[in-house]
Amino acid sequence: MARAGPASDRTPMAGMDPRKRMAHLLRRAGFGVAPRELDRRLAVGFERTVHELLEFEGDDGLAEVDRLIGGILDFNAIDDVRTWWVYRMVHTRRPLVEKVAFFWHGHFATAVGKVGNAQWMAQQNQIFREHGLGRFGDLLQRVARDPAMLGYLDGSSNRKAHPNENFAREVMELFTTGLGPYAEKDVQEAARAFTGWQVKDGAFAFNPAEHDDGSKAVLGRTGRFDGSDVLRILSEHPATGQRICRKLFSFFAHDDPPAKALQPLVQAWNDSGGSIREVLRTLFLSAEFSSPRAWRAKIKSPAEYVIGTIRALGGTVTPRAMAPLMARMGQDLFNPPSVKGWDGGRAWISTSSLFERFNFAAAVTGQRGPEGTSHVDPESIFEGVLPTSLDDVLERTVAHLLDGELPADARAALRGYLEVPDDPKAKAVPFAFDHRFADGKLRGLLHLVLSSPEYQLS
Amino acid sequence: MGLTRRDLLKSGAAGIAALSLPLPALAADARRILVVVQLAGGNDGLNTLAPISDPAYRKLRPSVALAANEALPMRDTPLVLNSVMGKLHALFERGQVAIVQGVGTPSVNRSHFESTAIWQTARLDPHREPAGWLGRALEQRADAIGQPLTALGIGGAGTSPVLVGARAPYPSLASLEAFAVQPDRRFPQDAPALNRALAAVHADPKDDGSPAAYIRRVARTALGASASLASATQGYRSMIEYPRGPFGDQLRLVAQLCASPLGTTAFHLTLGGFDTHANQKGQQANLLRQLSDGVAALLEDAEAHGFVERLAVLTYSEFGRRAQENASGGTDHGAGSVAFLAGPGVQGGLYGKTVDLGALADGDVPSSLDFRALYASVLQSWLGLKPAPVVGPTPTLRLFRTA
Repeated sequence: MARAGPASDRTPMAGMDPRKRMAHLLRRAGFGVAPRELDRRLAVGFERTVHELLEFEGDDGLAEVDRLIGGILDFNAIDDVRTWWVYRMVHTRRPLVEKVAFFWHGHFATAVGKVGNAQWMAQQNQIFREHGLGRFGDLLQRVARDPAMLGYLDGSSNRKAHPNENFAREVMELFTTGLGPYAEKDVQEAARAFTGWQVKDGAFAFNPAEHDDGSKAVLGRTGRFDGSDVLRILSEHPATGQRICRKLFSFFAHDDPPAKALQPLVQAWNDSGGSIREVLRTLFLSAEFSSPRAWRAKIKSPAEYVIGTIRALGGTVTPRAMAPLMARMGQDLFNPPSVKGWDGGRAWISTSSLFERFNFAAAVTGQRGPEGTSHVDPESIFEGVLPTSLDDVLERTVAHLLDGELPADARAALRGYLEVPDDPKAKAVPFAFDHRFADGKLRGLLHLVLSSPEYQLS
Repeated sequence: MGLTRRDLLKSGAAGIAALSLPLPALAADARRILVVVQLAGGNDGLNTLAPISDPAYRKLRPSVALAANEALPMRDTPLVLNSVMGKLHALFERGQVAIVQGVGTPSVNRSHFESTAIWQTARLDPHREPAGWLGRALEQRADAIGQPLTALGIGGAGTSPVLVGARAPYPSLASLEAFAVQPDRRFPQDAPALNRALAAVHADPKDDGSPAAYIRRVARTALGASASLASATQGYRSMIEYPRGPFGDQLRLVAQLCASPLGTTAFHLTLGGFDTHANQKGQQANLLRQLSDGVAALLEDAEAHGFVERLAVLTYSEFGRRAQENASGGTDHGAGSVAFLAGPGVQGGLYGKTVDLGALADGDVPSSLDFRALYASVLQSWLGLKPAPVVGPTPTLRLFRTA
């Protein structure tokens, strides 16, 4: 098997095996590695790959699916918007852009169940895609004027006579500073500043007649603030930078950031005026990101599990079928359970969600349709070089799907599984990588690896 | 289990059946059952149990207030029940429903998440205590240890924090069909080997606190419980009509599980959508109707299956809503709300202080009754557990006919 050596990397992280480190980066900054992708990325090198993920300028390879909007894909139907996003996540050449959109979807959680308008959900998703790596303050201003968000948090019916506090509260508690810096009175004052922010003909509209133009006191500052002013006060508040940097760290690296690992991120935030791109650059190039504390430390979300698996197997599945499966695992795209988004972490794992994962693994490895339909060819993980022994089958499967690492007893269980003939009546024959093996035992092995506890970890 | 080895091989369940959990040692009929229903989003108590004869009510809520034809009078009180709750009203008249007024957290927190966490953990500082109030309480039972089916979360993919114990959450279950491993149909003979290997990759019992160890533990529970559930729930048949939709389906599943010999003591399920900042009336009415019809169907089904005497249903919601409506035909986050407790063992009636709209607390129905008193009563009088270790020293209410 051709293995490219790592290109020279000046980042101060020599400890982690370069293949493992690159696969880790691509799981976190994207949705995992496709067959043959790792060697190509390794030839480019870690630092350069980080740069490409952040600054990618070329064709994202998605014109094909975007052309279907308005035709096969009807954006008045949320299932079509979901299908579109699933396709993008699997096929994009800009994986970080989709991953960052996914992060903001969880942060600025907005549920179609209440918004009731699929077009608006798609528009909001596009904001996350186009501005998700830009300055936080700009992103916040756009999201606050977004019809889906205005609908979700009742902003558009916020009138002078009776301010509606829903958006004002959540923008502080969840989107910016978090609990602590503000009091109940700040929520009430901020709600007044957002009066008159409405949706008209599917777009943001300011209605001066419903705006409370009086003086407001928000977070210790006083003035005749409007909504923009309040958003600026909030996005510039030091608690916001700290909180967003911590949340980015937790999402992309691990859940328990030490203060000294956060400090450079906050510094990058301050130096760049809240640029998410600069915070992530600092994060991905940090030693903490490529440390054992981060590697396999996070539980995959259903989207990461499903999309990562499709990519890893290099197969073709019906994108339309994927979003409902994620929903059953606990992540209904475009319909988070509350404005807090998904709790994530251990909350992803329950007895019922594990069965959903096991049964997804069974279904996806059992896709035997003809090429071009729903089809998963288990051989593709071997990248054209067929295995020569059961040990070779196991080692290379573990290398591709688990960065080569699996506890000894689990490895022994999988080796034992491979040895048992799939038909107890059949005579024992020496190993040959033939069609029967690839269609039976190899699919079974993939089903087991995708169901293993280690594979649930990102 | 009445299955031959050949049957097991045929169904591909051999590896799983080996993990099948023992049924509880106690006779199942000795067990009382508590079904906890979360009304997520903050249910507006003032339009659930409404002080309709107080002129201030309509003044505060010109568009949201219940009209006279949307109200069911409560005998000997100035209050009415929202008319969509006809079935619960009938049960109330028969003395089988307790309605607790002004219930809430001692210090009001208007954040959904903070307030929900306080209710679910029964800790005023909920972030220091990941385990839920029922999860902790059930650990007082020696026979609950190593018996994960003592409590079940129904619906959704996650486990409610209410049912998280000190060691691990109790299982959650969306449907029986989805709670089993699917074998590869093309190689049915391979299924036993595959199931053995699936159990083996989750077998390592060492707990180093890592996510992998946690996943292995939940997986062992899932694989073990799957076989028990499949065999125990086979005989259930029901003619009772539940409300259409997920909530009704979940209540039917609760009845099916209660009718089985599994001995599950506590269930938690969620009816969401009560965060009615805008266009409240239709939305809340739809939800309250589902609640009322659903709880009544469950009790009826329980009667048909002979476990109704052992059943009590408790509702909770993180907060009530402002007395004054907002400009969107809705209400914002408030304080005190109402809780329902239903079942033939319940001492029916109204509990707590009826709201005085002339004496609101900062525009809210005051939270005049500490929610922990509700839990303490349920734990002590219904489940026979010690409330103090779970909720601290709290006075209890006499909410049940029997101790």
